[in-house]
Amino acid sequence: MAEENPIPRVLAIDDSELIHRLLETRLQGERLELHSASSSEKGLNKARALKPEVILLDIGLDGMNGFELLEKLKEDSETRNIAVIFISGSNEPMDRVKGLDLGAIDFITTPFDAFELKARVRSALRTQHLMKLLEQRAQLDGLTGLWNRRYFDQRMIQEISEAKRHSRPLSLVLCDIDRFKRLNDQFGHPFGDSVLEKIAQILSGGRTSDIACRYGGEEFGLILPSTNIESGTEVAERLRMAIESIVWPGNPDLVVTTSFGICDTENFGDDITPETMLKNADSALYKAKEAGRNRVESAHPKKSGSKRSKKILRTLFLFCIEFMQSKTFQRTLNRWLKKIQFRECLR
Amino acid sequence: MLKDQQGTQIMAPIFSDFLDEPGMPKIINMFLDEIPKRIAALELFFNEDNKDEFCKMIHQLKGAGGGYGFPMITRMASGIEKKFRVPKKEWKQEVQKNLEDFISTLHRIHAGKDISGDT
Repeated sequence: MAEENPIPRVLAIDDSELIHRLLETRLQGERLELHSASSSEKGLNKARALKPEVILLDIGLDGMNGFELLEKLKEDSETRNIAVIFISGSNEPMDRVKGLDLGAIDFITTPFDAFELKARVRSALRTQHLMKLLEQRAQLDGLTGLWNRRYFDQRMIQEISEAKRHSRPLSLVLCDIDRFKRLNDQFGHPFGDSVLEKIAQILSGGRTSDIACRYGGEEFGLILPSTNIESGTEVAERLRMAIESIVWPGNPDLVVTTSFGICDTENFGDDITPETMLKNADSALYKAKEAGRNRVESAHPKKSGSKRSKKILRTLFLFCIEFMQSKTFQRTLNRWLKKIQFRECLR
Repeated sequence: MLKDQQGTQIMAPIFSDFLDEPGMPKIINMFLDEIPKRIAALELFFNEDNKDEFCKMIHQLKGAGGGYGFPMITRMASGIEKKFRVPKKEWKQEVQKNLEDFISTLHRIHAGKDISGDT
C-alpha cells in the first residue's frame, strides 16, 4: 500500500540569479528535482502547487521577507510540513534564532561549502522521508496493510470534493465478510486474521485508482473515483466472485463469502456528503445481508417528487383550502362541535 | 603589480578557486561576463544615492562571491555592508573608499575570465 519512493522536490526561493545558478550546479548529481522562484510571492505559490519536500529560503527577499514567508507556510496546512532551510548571507545569531524559532530546520550561511550544502539538504530530505513514512504508518491498518478508517474518512472528503469540482461520478462500496464471527469461533482467531489479510489482498488488487480501506472489524470500504454505480457494481461483483473462489489452505471445502453495498454520487447533486454516501452504502449492504448474503446490492437515493406529482399535491392543497372556506364545511363543523359540547355536558 | 608591454602597471587577474570543480567553469564564466554590468549598476546606484538597490547588490555579491570561488568579493562586500549602519546621509562618504577598492577587485576578477576557459 505504501507509495513508491519518488524523486524528492526542492524549491529554492531567492531573488539572486547568482544563487540559483550556484545551487543548480552544486546540487547536480543529487537525487532531487530542483525548482526555483525569484520572489516571495512566486515562491509561496510554487510551494502550494508543488508541495516540495524541502525549501531553501533566502531571508532578504523584497516585499515579504523570508521570515514572513516562513510564517505563511506554517499557517497553511498544505505547506506546514515542508522542511525549510534558510540560506542567507546574514551572520547575525539573532537571525538564526528567529528562523529556527519560526520552524526552519536548518540555517546555511552564504557563501556555502558545496559538500556542506549537499549534506544538509540530504539530511533534511532523509528526515522528511522518515516523517512521511511515520505519517503513512499512522494511516495504515496494521494487520491488512490497507488504508485505515482515519485515512478513509479524509479521502472521502477529498474525493467527493474532486467529484463535485470535475462533475464526475464517484462510487463507494462497503464490503462485509459473511458470518465472520462464526469463522473465528470455528477455526480460531489466527485463521480469522488470515481471512482478513487474504480478502484485503484481493480488494487492493483491483484498479490502481481504487482506494481500499479497512473500515473496521471485518468491514472494508472501497472508494472508486470516476466510477458510476453500474461500473462500481461490476467491480464489486468481480471482487465478490474472486473472494468466493479462494481455496483456503487446510480447509479446502470452506467457502468464505462477502456481501457488498454500493452507492454513487449521481442523483445527489451538491448535497452529497461522506455521511450520506456511507449511510446509503450501508443500507445497500444491509439489503444484501437481508437478501441472503454473498451478493452485491446497490442503493439509489430517494428522488424528489416528479413535476406531475408536485402538481397533483398542489391542486389537492388548494382544494382543501377552498373546501374549508365553504358554507357546507362550516355547517358540518358547527354540528360536530355542538355534538361534542352536548356529550361533555352529559358526563 | 604586473606591467604590460608599454610598461603601464596592470593589476594581476584573480582566478576562481573552483575552476576544476564539475559544472563550475560554465557558471563562473557567466558570473564574469556580468561583472561589467554589475560594476556599472553599482556606480549608478551610488551616484543616484539609491541606497536600497546599492545595498541589495552588495548583499548579493557578498553571498555569491565566495560560492563562485572568489572569497575576496565576499570579504570586501561584507566590509561595505558593515558601513551601511551609519546614518543615511553619511553612507556615501563611508562607503566611497571601500567601493573604489571593491570595483578595482571586480575588474581584476573580470580580467581572469579569458584564462578560466570552459570545459
